[in-house]
Amino acid sequence: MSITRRSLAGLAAVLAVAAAGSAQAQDWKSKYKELVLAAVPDENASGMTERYAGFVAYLSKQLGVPVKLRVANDYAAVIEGQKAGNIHIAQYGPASYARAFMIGAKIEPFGMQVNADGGKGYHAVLYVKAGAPYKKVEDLKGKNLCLVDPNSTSGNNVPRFAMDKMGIDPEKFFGKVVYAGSHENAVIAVAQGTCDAAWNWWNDADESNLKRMERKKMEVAGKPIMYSDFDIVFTSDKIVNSPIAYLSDLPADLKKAISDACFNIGTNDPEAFKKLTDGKAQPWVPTSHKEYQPIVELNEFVDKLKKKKS
Amino acid sequence: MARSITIPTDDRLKPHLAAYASIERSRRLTTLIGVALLAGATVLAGWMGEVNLELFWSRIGEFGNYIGRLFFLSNGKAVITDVYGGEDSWFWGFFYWLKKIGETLVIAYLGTVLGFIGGFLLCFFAAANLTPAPWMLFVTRRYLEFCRTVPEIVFALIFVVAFGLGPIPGVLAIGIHTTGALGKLFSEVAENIDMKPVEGLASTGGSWAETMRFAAVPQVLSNFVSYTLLRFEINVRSAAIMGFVGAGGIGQDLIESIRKFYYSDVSAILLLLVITVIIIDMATERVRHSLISHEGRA
Repeated sequence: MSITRRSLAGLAAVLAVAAAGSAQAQDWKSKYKELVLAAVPDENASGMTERYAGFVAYLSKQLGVPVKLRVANDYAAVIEGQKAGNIHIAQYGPASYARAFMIGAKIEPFGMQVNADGGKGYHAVLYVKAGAPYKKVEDLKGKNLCLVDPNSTSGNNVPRFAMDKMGIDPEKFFGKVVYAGSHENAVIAVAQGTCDAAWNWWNDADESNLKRMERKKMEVAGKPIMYSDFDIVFTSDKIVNSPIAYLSDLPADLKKAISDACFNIGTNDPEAFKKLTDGKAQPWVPTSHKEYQPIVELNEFVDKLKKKKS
Repeated sequence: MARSITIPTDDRLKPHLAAYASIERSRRLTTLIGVALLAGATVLAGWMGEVNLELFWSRIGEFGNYIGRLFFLSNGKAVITDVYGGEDSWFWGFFYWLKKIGETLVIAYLGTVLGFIGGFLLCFFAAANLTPAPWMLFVTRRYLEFCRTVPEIVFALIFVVAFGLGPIPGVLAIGIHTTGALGKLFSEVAENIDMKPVEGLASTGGSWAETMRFAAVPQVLSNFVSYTLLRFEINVRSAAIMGFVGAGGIGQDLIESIRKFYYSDVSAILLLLVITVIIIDMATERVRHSLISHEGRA
């Protein structure tokens, strides 16, 4: 009798817990009928849509709610969208994540990109056309320089930091300094001669934005972009790899579902992951804000540099 | 004899009232259908454009939020507390920004001059009453439409590829757009002129060019100048955007400040731009009014 009563009570407790569990899951599903994923625009909009299509479908399946990709046309749109809470998950670059943190967006970086060889860093490089008479940054005096976006790590902040160390004030040293808008645009600008040199991201000889453009068979004026058509005249120190972040106030079980989906994509859906990274990376690994604190300091340093112009 | 109004008897009035009511009814119905169609089209447009009213209302505070943030320095103090002097003040870049606005004004000015020349040369071909041949009317009108339909920023991007970075692409882009806009306005002015001088000159054997020069131009010139001055003001705004594509001027600093969330810099630059436009407006208003009243007297 007592055993029965106890087991009944136990059963009731189990049921209650199960009910609470599923109620909680139902809770976030009723609150978040749709999740929005955005990424900083490394490449042009159609390239982004194509690259992320499989990943978004995979996330939708894993989370059980539709995940929608919003293609932002600049880095700031992703930052502003996360600050406003409209973008639930965002793939950043280090500096754009740090900027979002600096302006008070309530976000948590949970995953860090990993290179194919397991490395967790990349470089900013300065490209010129192959065969151009520039062998180092100093040779580019009076020439036009393409940066990527004000919030790009390898396309603006690290280059500005590096050039400052060389004693170069870009706005005075170069003829024109412009933001091309994306890594691809910066390369295209050099290919078509608008800029004489352009900063870009570069992992190693095997993986970089330029390599990706070559693999996609992108063309400028009918001529395919080839990795060998460019020379690198400067390579920066190593930069910590890019983070993916979600809103801090998402429910804990949703956060776990998102991070699990990202960490395990390599085994769960290798096809989607291959499409996302051209097969040139390993899945994200856990990370935290601590890893990006130096980038926050880098941003602050570059902010100060700007004011020297006045 | 005083006139008196005879009021018709009710039974004679009845059919008229009925007719009036039925006309009113059908008119009201037409209006109702029109309003319903408009509402339907608006809802459809909103649905297709993914306009979410609920989201709009719930997020409208964010808009005010952004505007609010524009008035605080990076150290969290209100901009008013430290307006000028020092690295962290609101107008730390005052003279630097003024120089950039100066560049923007030069781009706008040159673009307007180019656009005036283009619009002036083409408008007589695009005016139905003055054009030498109907096909010229068709061709110039379509060309002007092309000029003002393609966004300036697109022209600027194309010209950046062709002419490289710097103010030239911005000037050309604004010049083309202004040609399209002024050409259209000018041709409408030209279509409203008094045709007697034109016919007079043509009948005495004046060539088409001579007729335009001596019969049409004197009638339209003051209006043309007035429109051009108005256009200059608009072009200052366009030139500020040109900086976004590396065409020089204040635009690049503005876009960088927006993207890097230098809130107080954004408000400082916008304030300087607004003041610049106000000064231009006040300076050109007097000229424009005297030109228009001159036109009225002529």
